Amino acid sequence: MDKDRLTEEKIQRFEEFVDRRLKPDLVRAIGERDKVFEQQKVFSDLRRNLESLEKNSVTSLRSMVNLGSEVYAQADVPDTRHIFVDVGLGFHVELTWSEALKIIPAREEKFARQIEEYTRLIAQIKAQIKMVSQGIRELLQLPAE
Amino acid sequence: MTPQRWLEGGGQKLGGTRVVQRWKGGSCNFPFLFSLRQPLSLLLSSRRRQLLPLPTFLLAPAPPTSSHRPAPPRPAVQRFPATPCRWSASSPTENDTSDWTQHSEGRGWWAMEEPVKGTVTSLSSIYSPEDAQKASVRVQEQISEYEKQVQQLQSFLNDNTNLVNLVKKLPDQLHHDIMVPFGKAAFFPGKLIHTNEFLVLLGEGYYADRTSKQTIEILKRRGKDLESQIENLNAVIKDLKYEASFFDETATEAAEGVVEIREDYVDEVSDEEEKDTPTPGEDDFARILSRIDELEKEEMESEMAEEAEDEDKVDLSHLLSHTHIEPEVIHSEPKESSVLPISKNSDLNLSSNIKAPASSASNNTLPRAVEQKKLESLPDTPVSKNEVLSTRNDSSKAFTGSIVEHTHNTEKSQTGQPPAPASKPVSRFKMRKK
Repeated sequence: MDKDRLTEEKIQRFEEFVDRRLKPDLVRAIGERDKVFEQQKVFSDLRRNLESLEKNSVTSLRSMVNLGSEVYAQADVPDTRHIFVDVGLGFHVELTWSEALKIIPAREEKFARQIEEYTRLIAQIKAQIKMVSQGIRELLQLPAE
Repeated sequence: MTPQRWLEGGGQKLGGTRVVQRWKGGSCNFPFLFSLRQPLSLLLSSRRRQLLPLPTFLLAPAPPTSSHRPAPPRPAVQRFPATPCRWSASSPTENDTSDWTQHSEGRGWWAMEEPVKGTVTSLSSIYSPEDAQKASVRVQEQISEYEKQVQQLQSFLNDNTNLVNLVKKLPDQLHHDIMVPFGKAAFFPGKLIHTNEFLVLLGEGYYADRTSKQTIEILKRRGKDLESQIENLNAVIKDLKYEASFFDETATEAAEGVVEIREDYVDEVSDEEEKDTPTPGEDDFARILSRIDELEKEEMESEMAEEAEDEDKVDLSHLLSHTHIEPEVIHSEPKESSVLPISKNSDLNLSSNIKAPASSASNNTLPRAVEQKKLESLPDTPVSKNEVLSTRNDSSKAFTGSIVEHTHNTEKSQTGQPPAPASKPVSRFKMRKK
């Protein structure tokens, strides 16, 4: 009788751990990884655009600037040889095309590493959830799946 | 709740025909209200007479639930029955035989001296405090959700006004030096050109070239739309807030043990008016009723006539076998055929009894026919008059309208007038009036 109550309490604690700690952690980790994916995509797009600019040797550029609420105004770039690239922490560095094409792959590599890290973390959390649920199953003396 | 609010809540709530009163406070406040109405000495003496234990509020200090809340003032207009209700903290003694009913929460016993006009239910028996609390929490969640939406819309609105200002300002100069974004992570130094030309998204992927002024118009329309949305949401939030406050109130009231006293509202003034002067509408109503009675009677008679018709067919078939009348004649006019046997039976008042049911006619025509013969033979003897009167009384007791009509006719014949052809039977209502 007393033992039953103890196991019940234990199961409740385990379930709370899964629901309040592991699952929110997992959601957060997945969110972070998605952000990094986005960043990586931005930089790979930038690299591709710069490469195409280089290939076509474009010196001046006309583009549309979004002013907000989907209102666009025309913009003119007279000199495309210098570009300001985001290097993190809100800093933008003025670079030439060749410099930019050196830095951008380094950024991409860093993002790839981050993604790998997050993937490992997610796998870990998932494994922990599996383990705790297995423990609960054992406490309930249910057959394994 | 302040005493003022209590008055508002406890006074007359004339929602439809009901008066709802709420008594605040713990169990002791309920009888205490009646002690206000009734002198304390009277209460005590009545209690002694009834051999009842004193209520707790006389023996012990008030319970803590009602200590922080002063005894509520009596509502200015109190409609609870003037008859005081007895109340006891413990169960009634055995020698007391009046019908005690236990308080719904078992706090005490109380009974009314007279049949109760209203009902008393404790609020917690209808809404449990926990449920009310839960409902309140849910409504609060909804409110926070809607408030988030409002905040979002408000930020959109702010962006919009900023954009309007920007678009207004841009054509002031021919070109502006800006950093032209190139993807999300990079930009070029450049400048805005053609500052009076804007490409505005209309929706569904359609864009329009607009000037600054036209763009401002579009943006203002968008702003108005956003404002109306915010207003709507604010109205919803207001409603929900009222709801939440109501749930909170209910929860606290239920926890405190408030009882709800419901009593049907009787409009005394209108009652008197009805008694004094019957309205013209009433007259119409009576007429309609009499008409309905007439129609009902006619229907009943026609039904009975149909039944009689069936019987008559049997009778007639006997006759037919003797007289060899073709049955088609009878079938061609079934209504008249139903009437025919009656007129055969009672030749004396043929015209008046066309619509009388056959069964009653067959029962009554015979004695009455004899009577009328008597009358003819002895027109002014008091004996026959008495007889006629007695038969009329009997018939009016035993049978319905149609029979009374016969007596009506005999009266006429008694006075010497020939029986007038009555096309329509007199309505039951009119007869009752006489």
